[in-house]
Amino acid sequence: MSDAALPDYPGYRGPAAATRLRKLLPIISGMRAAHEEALARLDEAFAKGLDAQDERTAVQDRIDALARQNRRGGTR
Amino acid sequence: MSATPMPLPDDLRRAARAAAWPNRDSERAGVAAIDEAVMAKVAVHEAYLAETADKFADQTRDTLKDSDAALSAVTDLTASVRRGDTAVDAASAAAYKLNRARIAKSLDDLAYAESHIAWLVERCADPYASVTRILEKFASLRAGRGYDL
Repeated sequence: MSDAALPDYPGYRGPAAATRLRKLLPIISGMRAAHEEALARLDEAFAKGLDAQDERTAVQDRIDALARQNRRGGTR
Repeated sequence: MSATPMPLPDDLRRAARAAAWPNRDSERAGVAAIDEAVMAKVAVHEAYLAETADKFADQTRDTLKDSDAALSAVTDLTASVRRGDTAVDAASAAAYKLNRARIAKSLDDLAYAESHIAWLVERCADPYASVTRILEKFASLRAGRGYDL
């Protein structure tokens, strides 16, 4: 009997609990990916918003400069 | 039998099988008693692991709900900026920072959940190995303890 392999522990609630937990892993993984993507989109949207704002500011500056020039009655 | 310092499960079971028994019947009964005592200890640990796992699963579902809310908020803000409904100004910059921080926290929570689940799954799937690992790692746990044989 001393050479016989030890019978395995049968397992009761543990393996079922492990299965329940494993089911959450793909959901977590998907949520993480969605977060990464959402962050990238947020940064992109704000960067574009800032660029558009800079563009609008530059155009406005140019309009203001022309208006000042016109008020002085001169042209370049 | 009185409590003896706790050997590792496999060592105890192998010792029972290697011991000299008066006859086949007593050997069979003795080995079975040792196996049962060891399995009973593992079953206690397994029940604790399963309970911990189920509690953490509930906690993770809450984390996922919070994460989903953070994701919705950031998606709404992004869409609003893209449409031009939200100007990029001081107020939206504050919202940007807030949402970024919320998403970063959410990502940390999700990463923790993922790694802790992997840790728990490994132990729940094989409670016997988990008990052995604990007894190997923390020798002081074995001192003065027995299998209540």
